[in-house]
Amino acid sequence: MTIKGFSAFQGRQWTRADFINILAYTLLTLWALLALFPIYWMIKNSFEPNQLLNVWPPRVLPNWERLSLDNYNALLVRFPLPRWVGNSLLVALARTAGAVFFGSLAGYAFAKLRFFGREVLFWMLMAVLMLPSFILIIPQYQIIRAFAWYDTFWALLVPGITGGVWAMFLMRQFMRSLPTELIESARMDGAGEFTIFLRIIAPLAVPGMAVLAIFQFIGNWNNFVWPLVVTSSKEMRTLPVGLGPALSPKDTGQVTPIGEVMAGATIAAVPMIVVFLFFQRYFLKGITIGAIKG
Amino acid sequence: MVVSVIALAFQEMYYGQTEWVGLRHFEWIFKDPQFWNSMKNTLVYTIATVPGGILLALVLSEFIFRRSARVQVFYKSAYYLPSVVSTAILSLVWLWIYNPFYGILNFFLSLFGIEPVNWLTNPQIALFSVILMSIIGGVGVSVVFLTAAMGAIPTELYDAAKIDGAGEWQRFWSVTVPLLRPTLLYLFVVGFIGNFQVFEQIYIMTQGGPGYPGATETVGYLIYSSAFTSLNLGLAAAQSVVLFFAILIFSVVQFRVFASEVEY
Repeated sequence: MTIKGFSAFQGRQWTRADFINILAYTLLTLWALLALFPIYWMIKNSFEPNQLLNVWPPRVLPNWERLSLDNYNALLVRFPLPRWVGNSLLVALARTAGAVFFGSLAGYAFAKLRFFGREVLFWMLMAVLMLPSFILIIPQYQIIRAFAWYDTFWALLVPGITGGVWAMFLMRQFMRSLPTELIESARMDGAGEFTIFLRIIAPLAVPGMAVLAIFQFIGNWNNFVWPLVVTSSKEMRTLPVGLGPALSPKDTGQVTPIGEVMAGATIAAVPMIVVFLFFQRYFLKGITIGAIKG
Repeated sequence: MVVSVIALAFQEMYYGQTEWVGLRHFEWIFKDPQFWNSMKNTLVYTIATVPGGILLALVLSEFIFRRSARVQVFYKSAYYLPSVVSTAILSLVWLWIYNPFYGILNFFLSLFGIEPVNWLTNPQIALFSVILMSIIGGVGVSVVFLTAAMGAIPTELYDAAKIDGAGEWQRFWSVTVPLLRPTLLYLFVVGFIGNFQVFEQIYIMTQGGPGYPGATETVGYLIYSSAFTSLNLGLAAAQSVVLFFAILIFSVVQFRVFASEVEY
């Protein structure tokens, strides 16, 4: 297809396939520009002084001589950014570790162990997956209040540290494809259940764990509603919850200069973009685990 | 916890005291124009974002699929990239893009001689603007799912269809789309559950406004403001129970629709 489209430029007759190719690439490229433009715009604006931003007409291309870190410096004075980054990192790392640990144990049990009521329990948990998370926020909030965990790290870390049903499901789907004979022969050799998990299953499940870890890390870093609901002091906010409302003009009543808003957004977004580019392969393949076969 | 939220829906709380109020919250909800307005906004938002977004993803996937691996990875990554960025953060950027005075979108439109638009402050347009942002950010995930599923379709089926004289368009609708049904079902159900709860975009960009009842107020946002602004947890619990049933009904309908066709 592509070769045909290319030969069109060498004076050959244009075919229908050429037109379809041109149409396809035009549409695909336009949409790619549309998807990437906000991210470009955010990064570009974050390095430009505010006098250049609140003008008409706006400049689409960067103003190379005027780029600076001023917005970032101003933002650092205004908000406890290192603290927020630290909170976000701690929360994302700890919850990711929890999800991988609990998710693989539970996933292994549901994939390979036989126990009474396994299928019933599994489908009950899958029903929970269908439940909108919003419905759980209010009782979870009340529990946090009852434990006096409001506005503490406990509130940010503990609820959902297991990664929930989704982590279990992903690991189960992955572990189901591992050969059962390995487990049986290890059991025959007298290995205990935990040894089997640690020595045989866990090493084989590393690719699945990697996918789970990446998605958990991004999901927890970006999580908004829960940290918003259970924290109130500046010191306990995570990055999106600290920056989002603080930079949204309707919430504060005061207008943060737009260059600083874009600088804040860039600080929150770029780490995830780097993670994405680094683990691209896992994203483009991994999210479909369990969804295609059902 | 499900039980406790249902129980809470029948209670009133003041200053830590609870009182059993029976169906009062539900009576209030069903008479409340603000709730119906938010339900309507949520429905419009979800129906535009999910089926609209999936249709778009289907077209893009068909164009991406069967190209060289490198081309596929490039476009898929470009489409996927916005979805790794927090919606709250992306909303801040869109707020600036939509700015009526200095925003880049109005600038691009002005190149075509179109007058500036109040993207988020005009009640007729605000919900559309939120939808546009969500579709642009969300299509990549669907594209990745759909292209993966398209790769699993055996090529013999296409060859057979070709021999039977089916054109490209017909092959797409009669072979590709039916065989993608399990993936489409997944995307529809997960998309409806997620988008019915839309919150962050609204919270950052419009706070439910403009106007009253708010032109972009969704059920998710209403639950949040009932619970954490008006501090009426009982009412918020009742609202979330109604939201749950709305989602449940849609999920059941989707399972029915996608399961009703012929099995292959």
